[in-house]
Amino acid sequence: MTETAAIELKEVNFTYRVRQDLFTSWKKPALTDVSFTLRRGETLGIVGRNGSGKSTLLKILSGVFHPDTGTMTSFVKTVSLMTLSLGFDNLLSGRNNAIFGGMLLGFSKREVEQRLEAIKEFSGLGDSFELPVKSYSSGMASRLKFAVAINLEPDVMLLDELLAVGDVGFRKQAAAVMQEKIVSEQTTVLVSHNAGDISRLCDRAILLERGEIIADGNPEVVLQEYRKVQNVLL
Amino acid sequence: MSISPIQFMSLLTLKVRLGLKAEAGRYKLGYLWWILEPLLYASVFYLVFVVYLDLRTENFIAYLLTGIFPFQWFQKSVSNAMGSIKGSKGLLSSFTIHPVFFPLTHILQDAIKQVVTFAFMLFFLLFYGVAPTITWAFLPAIMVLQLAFIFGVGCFVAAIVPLLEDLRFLVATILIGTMFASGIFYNPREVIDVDLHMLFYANPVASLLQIYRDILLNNDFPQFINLYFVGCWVGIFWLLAIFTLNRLRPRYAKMVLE
Repeated sequence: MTETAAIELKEVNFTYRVRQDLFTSWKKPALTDVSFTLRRGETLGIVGRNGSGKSTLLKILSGVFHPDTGTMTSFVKTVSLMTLSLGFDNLLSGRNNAIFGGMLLGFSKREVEQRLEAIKEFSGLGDSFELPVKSYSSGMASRLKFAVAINLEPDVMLLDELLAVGDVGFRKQAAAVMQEKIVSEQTTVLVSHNAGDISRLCDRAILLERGEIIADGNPEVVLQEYRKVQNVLL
Repeated sequence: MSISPIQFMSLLTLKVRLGLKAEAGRYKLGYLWWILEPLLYASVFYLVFVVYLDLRTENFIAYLLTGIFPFQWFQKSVSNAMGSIKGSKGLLSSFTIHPVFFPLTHILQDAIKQVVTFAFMLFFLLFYGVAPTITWAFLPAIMVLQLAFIFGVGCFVAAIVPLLEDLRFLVATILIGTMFASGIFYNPREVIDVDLHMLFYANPVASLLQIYRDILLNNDFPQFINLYFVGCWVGIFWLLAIFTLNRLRPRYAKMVLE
């Protein structure tokens, strides 16, 4: 694993505004003074309770959200954010969504088309690959998303709970590919509630609590901290 | 992480093509609606103005059609573009593409459909006995001018609606007001006082319709005053759209989720 930075966050703050009506709204801080460096080739796990800011952090890393204050500096070309709510055009087929999604990630149409068969095969969608995405179950849609990202090999992959969906067979397949990616120095950030995934796949982990990083380092140590936080609240 | 201009154009072309295909696939009669819709529209106006109101004055139907079709293009494009950024929550919260992509996709899709509709309009004009003249050759250029105007207005309203959803009502009301204030159903040169012509044609849609009628019905070149007003409004809306979209760009992903 090289030590060069892929993405660097410095004192990032991010707040949502919750609007009740025209005159009433309040601020809800999502991230507070978050600083860390995602290094090239590492697999970073992010853990934390619901609402701790994990998904917001991934959106900051992907460049989708801009910090209110602080800086996010990216040293890579392509970053792929994969969430359960990833934007598909429901009227288009899986094939066309794969092409469109791949191009949105910064790949040329030719590059995506060259990998289409591999994407189709990995997704296991079979003939459904040609059907509109609106006919897919959430598991099928997630498999397609994962297949697009894993086959296009972006510089950084950001996975938001994506390993927790799909059937057992797909989860095993996804975990096996992730293991390969780690060996091949793919830079990955993995958000998961599954401690097993974090300890097996990640070489570093971060614990977020109420938008702040309270632990950063060895996955086993961070997971121990995470258990303590959970126990305190139980 | 940012998408190059070439990649952006490539994505836009793909999205417009797939969007038209998907839209056609959604309806049983598919692409046929591109012709059926204006035909139905024209039929309604024929029923109201010719059958009910008996306004069989010379060239009235032709006059009506050259007002309705360009206006309908403007109205539909702006209405479709209006909610395009707000409605692209999934893509905006997953990718870093420039938000202008969303209104542009809708506007270009509508423009392609409009080429078919305008061909149909010319067919109607011939059917109603309007003889084609050399000034008809201006039609493509005037359509490009209208497209430039629609780009400006469509992108601007798409840019501001995520700020305040209520603006949709205001835009819808302005569109209806524009319909009545642009001379679709009446000839402003006949019914509006000459002193008020400048004010009337300061409305860019009124000026656009006058240009269409001059080249298609009056065998006349576009009047400078009409081109001037449309050109000014194109510039104003383009500046507003560029400024608003670039200013709010970092906030859209957050805004559509809040």
